[in-house]
Amino acid sequence: MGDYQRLKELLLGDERAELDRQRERLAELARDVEHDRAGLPRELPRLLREAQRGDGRDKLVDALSAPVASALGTAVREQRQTIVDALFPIIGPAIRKAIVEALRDFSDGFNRALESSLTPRGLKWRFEAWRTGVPYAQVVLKNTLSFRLDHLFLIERDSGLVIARESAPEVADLDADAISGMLTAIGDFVRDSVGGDAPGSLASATVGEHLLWVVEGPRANLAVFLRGVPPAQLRLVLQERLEQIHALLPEAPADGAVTLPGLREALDLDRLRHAAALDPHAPPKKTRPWPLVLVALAIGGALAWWLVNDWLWARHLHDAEKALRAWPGVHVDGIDGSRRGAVVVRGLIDPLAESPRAALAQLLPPDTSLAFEWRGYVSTDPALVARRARQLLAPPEGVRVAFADGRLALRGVAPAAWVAAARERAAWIPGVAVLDLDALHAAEDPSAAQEAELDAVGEALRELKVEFVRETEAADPAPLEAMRAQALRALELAAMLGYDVRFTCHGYNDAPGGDVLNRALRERRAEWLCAELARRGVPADRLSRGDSVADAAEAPTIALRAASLRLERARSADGK
Amino acid sequence: MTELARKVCMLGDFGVGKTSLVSRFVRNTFSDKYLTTVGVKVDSKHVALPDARTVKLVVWDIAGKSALDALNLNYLRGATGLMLVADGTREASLRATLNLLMQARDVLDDPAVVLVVNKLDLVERWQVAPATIAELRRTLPVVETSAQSGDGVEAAFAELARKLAA
Repeated sequence: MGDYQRLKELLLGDERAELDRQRERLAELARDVEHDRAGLPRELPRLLREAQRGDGRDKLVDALSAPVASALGTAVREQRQTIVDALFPIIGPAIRKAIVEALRDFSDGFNRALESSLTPRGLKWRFEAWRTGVPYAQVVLKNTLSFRLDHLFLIERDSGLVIARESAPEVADLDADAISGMLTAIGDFVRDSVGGDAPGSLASATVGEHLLWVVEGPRANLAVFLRGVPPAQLRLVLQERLEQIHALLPEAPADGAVTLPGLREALDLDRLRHAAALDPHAPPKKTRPWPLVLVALAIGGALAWWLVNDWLWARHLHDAEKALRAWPGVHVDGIDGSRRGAVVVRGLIDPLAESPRAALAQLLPPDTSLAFEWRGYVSTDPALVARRARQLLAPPEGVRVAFADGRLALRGVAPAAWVAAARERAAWIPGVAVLDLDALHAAEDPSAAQEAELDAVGEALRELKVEFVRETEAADPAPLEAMRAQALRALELAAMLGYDVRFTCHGYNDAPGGDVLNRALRERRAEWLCAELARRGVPADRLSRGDSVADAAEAPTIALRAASLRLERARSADGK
Repeated sequence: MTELARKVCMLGDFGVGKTSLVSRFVRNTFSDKYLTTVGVKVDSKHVALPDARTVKLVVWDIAGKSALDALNLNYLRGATGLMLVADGTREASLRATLNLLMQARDVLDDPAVVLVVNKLDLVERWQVAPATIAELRRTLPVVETSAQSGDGVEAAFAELARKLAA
């Protein structure tokens, strides 16, 4: 060793020794790492198990979830066949199970439909299906499937512990934990005994009317104890509820019964039963409108029938009231026809009036009950006054009684004593304001007969009319001839009795035509009558044209295309 | 969380008295015939804890076997407590019970365990030596019981409940 080497040794010996130690240590560490790397695959399962102890499981899940999901996605894209092969044992049974369930449901429905098709109840259900648009099978199910939910357990899948439960209030309580535990054990037993490693477990069990359904989920199962015949829809509803519940469950396994927001609602028995009664997957109902249309038509028809009858009844009542108000000697206070088929008339009636019952019976519908509530009164109706005058005065034959506008006129020939009595009594007759006895003659008067005849001639002339076909073309000459005869007789009688007699010719027209034309036509007809009578022997100086008065009639009628003659008399100036 | 509940499995060789112990402890809901048919019978009972809480033990009485088959291992799933039962008059039953514990540990994640040595009423015929029991107590809570007289039964379950609620 040279000095330089010795000096180096003296100066750097410690550091070199330290450097050698560190180099040796590094080499040792590198060997250890290599050793650990070689042993890692062997130790990894153990390390993973240890990593899951305590809260390590959650951390491990957090750490692995993202890369495992990515790896699964990559595997699905790049090694699809491998994934398909791996899932094949799951997909096959799932498809088979779905097909079996569907066939079982179809078979059940078909059998029920066959059993109920030709019975009265079946026909009723068919009508209901037709009316509501719901498939017949659903109507049958709705009416035949009666069930009751007794208990519902949400069971932790591995431990069999009850996470939550609901029971109907009327059923006896039971040891839910023991039952759910046994149920879990029996499910395992059945799967182990029947299915081996196949997925799935006990799905349902039946004892008499009691039925147990188990709906499986990845972390919890729903076990429902029910009675009766539940609809297949219920299982679907339970599966949906179980999916909802899984979204609510915490990640850690439950230590027993838990209370979670929404869990109670998801398990509520009434809601489940209601949801099972409805079919959320059913297409919107196409309600057939015909039943409603028929009902609406029936209601509308009944309403129309009622309205028509009501209108007819009101019209009958109106006609009856109109007739009653025009009935002589009757004053109507009111007519009560509120109850169809019965009429009550309240009012006043003159004892001399005729009963309106028969006339009203003809105006009202057959079988109408008609009742009157009358009170007596004295009517001033002209017909009644005339009737009362005849009753009180008892006119002898040859005396005519007329009443109008408060004037009572007695005409004819009667004994002087009766005339005197009549003059006295007539003033007392209710309704008589003026007594007209100018045409009443005492039989003892020698000229009475001529007087009476002259009165009769005047009235006869009043009744006569010459009718025209058109303009002044007379339809029949007979009335004209009769007028001439009456007029000449009147002149004779007037001469004997000392009267100055004059005749007035009047013309009439019917509705068509303007006022000016009709007025001229009336005047021409009056002039024609005067001229014809004069031509036939009636003194022209006794004839004159009367005032032209328009007629109120509207319809064209020959009775209005006429001319008439009026007799007017007055005592002659010589006082004869 | 409204109620604490724990699944407890009874493990032990045939004839060690598991079912009798359970019958002493709980009100029997189901018939014992399930043990011979399904291989398990489940009952439950509330146990009061020293801190005034209660824990509901759901006890799975698994039919006695010296080794657990696949079905029995399924029954163990989700259990957080094990009640190991041995017959003091048969030392072999103690070894079988300890073997069952080893099997169960492969399925369960650190379960609470209580070892029960039964048939204390026949203590004069016991094959299990007190020294053995003393040695076992170093690793496990050991309770000596008599299903016939009821001695130690409540204490055994109370101990398990206490460990489960800890």
